[in-house]
Amino acid sequence: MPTAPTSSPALNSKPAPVPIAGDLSGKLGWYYARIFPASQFTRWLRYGNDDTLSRREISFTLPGDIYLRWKSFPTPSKLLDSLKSLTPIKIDIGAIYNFPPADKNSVSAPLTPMEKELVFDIDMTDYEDVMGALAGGSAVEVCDRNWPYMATAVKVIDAALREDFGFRHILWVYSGRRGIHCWVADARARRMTNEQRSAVADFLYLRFEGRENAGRRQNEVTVPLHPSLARAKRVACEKTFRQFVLNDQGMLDGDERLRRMLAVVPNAAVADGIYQRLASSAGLSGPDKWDRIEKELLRAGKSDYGVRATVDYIMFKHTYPRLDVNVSKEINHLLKAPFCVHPKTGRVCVPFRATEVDGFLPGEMAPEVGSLLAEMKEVDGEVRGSGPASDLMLEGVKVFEEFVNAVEDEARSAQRKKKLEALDQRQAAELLVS
Amino acid sequence: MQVTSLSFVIPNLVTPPYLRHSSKRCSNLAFFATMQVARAAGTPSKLPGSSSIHSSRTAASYAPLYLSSSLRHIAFDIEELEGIALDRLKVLKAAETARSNASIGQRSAAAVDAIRTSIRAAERAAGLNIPPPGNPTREDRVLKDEASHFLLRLALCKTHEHRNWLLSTEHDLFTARLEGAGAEFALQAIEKADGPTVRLASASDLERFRQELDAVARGPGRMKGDSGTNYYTVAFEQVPALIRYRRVFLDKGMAYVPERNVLDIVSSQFRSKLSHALVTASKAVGLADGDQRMRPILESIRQHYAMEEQVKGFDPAASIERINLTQLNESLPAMPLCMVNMMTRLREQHHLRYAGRLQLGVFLKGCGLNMDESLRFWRTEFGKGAINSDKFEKSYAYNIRHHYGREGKRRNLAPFPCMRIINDRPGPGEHNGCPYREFEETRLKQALRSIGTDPNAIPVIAAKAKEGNFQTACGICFASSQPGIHAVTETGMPEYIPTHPNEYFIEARKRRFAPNPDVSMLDADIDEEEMLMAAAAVESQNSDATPKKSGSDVDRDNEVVNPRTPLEKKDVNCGNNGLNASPGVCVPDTPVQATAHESPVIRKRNDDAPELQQPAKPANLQSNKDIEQENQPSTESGNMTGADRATVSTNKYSRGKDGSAEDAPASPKRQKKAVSP
Ligand code: SF4
Repeated sequence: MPTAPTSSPALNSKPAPVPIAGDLSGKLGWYYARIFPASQFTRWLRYGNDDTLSRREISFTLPGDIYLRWKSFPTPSKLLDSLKSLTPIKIDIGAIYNFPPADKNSVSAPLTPMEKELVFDIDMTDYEDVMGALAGGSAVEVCDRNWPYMATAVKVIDAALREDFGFRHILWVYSGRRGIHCWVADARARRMTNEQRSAVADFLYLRFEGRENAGRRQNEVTVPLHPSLARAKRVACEKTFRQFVLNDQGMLDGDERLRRMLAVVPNAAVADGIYQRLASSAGLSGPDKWDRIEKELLRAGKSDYGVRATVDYIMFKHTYPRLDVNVSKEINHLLKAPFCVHPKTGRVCVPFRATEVDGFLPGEMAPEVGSLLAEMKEVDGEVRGSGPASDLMLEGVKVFEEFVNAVEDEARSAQRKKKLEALDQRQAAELLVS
Repeated sequence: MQVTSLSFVIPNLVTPPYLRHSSKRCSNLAFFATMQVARAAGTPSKLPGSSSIHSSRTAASYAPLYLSSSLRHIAFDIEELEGIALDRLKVLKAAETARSNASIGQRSAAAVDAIRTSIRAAERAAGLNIPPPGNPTREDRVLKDEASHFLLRLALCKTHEHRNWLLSTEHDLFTARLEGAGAEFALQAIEKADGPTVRLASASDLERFRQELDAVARGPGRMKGDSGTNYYTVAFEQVPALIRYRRVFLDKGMAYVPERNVLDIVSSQFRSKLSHALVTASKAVGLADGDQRMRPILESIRQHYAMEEQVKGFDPAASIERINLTQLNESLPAMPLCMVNMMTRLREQHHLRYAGRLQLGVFLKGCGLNMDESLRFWRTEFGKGAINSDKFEKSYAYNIRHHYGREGKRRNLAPFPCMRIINDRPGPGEHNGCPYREFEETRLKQALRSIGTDPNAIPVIAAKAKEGNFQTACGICFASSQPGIHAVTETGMPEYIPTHPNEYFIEARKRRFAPNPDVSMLDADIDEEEMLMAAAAVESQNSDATPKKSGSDVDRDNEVVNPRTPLEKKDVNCGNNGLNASPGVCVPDTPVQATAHESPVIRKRNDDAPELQQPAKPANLQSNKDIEQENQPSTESGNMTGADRATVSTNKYSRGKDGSAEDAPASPKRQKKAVSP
């Protein structure tokens, strides 16, 4: 069973706004040949040498749900040829193995994953239970309207990766529909074991459903908060909660929603009391209501730890990134590559900067493959695209290139260091012998 | 047996040519990679008294990382080797049992302590504990410990499952041994292992991060960080367990580990080193397997591993009672309340949350449903609700296949014992767990009525449940809802107390469906003399002043009874204490229950409560006496005299002791094979 992340079928069934299905292969042929940033893409996967690329698992999904796993390519040009001839509707990137996965049937040794970027997958689908007024409509509309969830996630995770874990090479990519992917490419991240990956994933993950008993909650959302969560609150969650969740989504509008929000208060009497007092004050805005709730919870929480912790718990429940942790936990899990074209929306999965995430509304910022092709013109004997979509594409490529350059630099200096060390050792050995 | 012995040579630093290409860090961990097997001619063949070993271990704690070995040039006798390896296997099995008894996710200090205690007890029982320095046997024990570790490493490195098992159980053993060691010991061990850099955090860092460190230290479930504690910094990769639960503060990839958690770094070192070593060993094991003297030992270890593997859970295959899907409905009344509850919920709501699916799923597997049947069952039940078979395939089938080991880690999941179910508490909307613990009184009573429990017994059951004796409550329910004659103990409690829902199920099905429950073959051979002796013992015991025992102890005593022993007097009358659905003669049907699957039950008890293995007759009797006084308001236990009761219990106990797990029919092979040094 392929472990590649796929979006849920129920959502796929909605009609695509851009009907490119018919001639998708044709378009993709052009796309891979002319627009896809092939050189940056392969430079990334090489990490400084072809050997690394050749041991990387790359899998293709072809039209008609044909899934080709365990492919690998000895050189960048072989990969490009394959893209052009097979025109996959989706490319998934897996781990770097001990030998090329394509040889797995001819080599007797077991194929073992050695390295892979640390990856994260966040999808808006997982926020559906806390969406209010802005839920509903087609997938892409929902995506733009609810982008603040994703923006919050990006800010929180990006900050944690940098400040808590010290990672530097982080690439954020729009997933083409209603989610985002994150690639952490630091050498240290790539070498992490499954155990370490799952520890990091759990560290960044908050659990809100299932065994939602007070005990469990108190172990996660504590008072005082763990510094990492305190930062999440500070950099994004609190603001998103007040402005977006309470105001735009109206999550405190109406008795029903008020009751639902208070349902997680561990002390039923306290929850009831607050509900009674607030239900009458219909005129208050969401954030104002929250101010009162917070005050009351803190007052009641003076003697009740669980109630005190509920304040942050509620805020996080509506805003904290909802990671699909399983994607992050296993080194051999595949994740869709950047610059794929989403077959349903036609949008290119472009990278974006974490610092600019607020302005990255996919509907406006993700180029659509049809428009990209329409903008292709022959200028001075060279086929190039120019126009708004091409500009967006160019911007995405630029973000990607910055990432690739930094990654290559790291790889290069690591190689240099290794060489120096080897030299040192040889000299030391010679000294010893003489 | 051929008189041969082995001589190991384990140079610590020399990398043999055939390992040169493999990862450098593993090279000196490769036990037996460098093994030379020599003919034993002329080599000393006895372990004790080998004075050539220079143990450099002076630290009081003994928790070796097995990076090198003092085993060079020591010759062992083959049988002795096998014996010590199997001893260690026992210890590791005990570690596994202890862990599976502690519920998953339960990380309370008490649970961890319980695991440690049982490991240490098992260690002592197997003679693998290491006495403090200065003790003359220490060196031999250390040798034995190392030899057994390396042998198991070699024997259990071939498959993923073996490696994982060894890794986690050895890790538990290691942490148990680490307990009480200080940061000093930890730092030394880390250095010796060429481990990560661990630095004492500077005062200025502490000052800079005071607020953050304080926030981490102050959460509940964490110990209050006394302001004076030292912090050590280490790369976050080294302390995944602390990261996972946000137990440390992180700054730019460095974890600030409080002094008391420094030991965790060592144990995670241990784990990663062993993990590497196992992979290395798996490459070199062919060599050892090819040796005609090593091979039988390694094979024997593997066999014993597999054998006890079955015993550790409830082994459905050993039972004659297996149902298929068509028999499921008729078997419903034979299920314990926890399962009935989930079945009812499932049929009402056409859905069960994950924890429930898991618990019911592995139970049904234990009942005999094969994977296809299980898939069909769940698909049908879910299909009656909103989940069509497509959605089922996408979202649920994986889980079900997982129960059968066809997905994920491919570990065949064993049905859960009561202890685990009891500790696995349901969240809102979940229906797993043990109803005797989870239901409040009226709901429990209602549930009991609905499965046709004798109304007289219901208040008794509810009371037991309220006291926290969930399994006893379940046992009374069994006795008052399942047909047939039920034996009671001298305390008026039913003889049969379930420890596993599948065991409950089979017992109940036997009563319902076995053609002729053979319950009459008792007491024909009750030994008069034994009874008299015991009665006398009781007399003398009764005259002593005896301290009271707590209720839970009492229950444990009852449960430790060996169900195989036919002991009750035929004329014991159950009276009207509400336990017996069919009035009349109360005779134990224990001989019928004496199937192979009961030995693990006994074993488990022994592991749980090692103190009960001691011939502590007086204590046992005392507690029984106390029960008489405390727990028997409805003491119409017929015409059984005090002496009689005592007799029964004494007898039972002594039989139980003699017929302990070792003699159980399930493991005759084991008995024969396990050679203790
Ligand atoms: S005691 Fe065991 S069998 Fe009985 S209901 Fe509880 S978990 Fe189920």
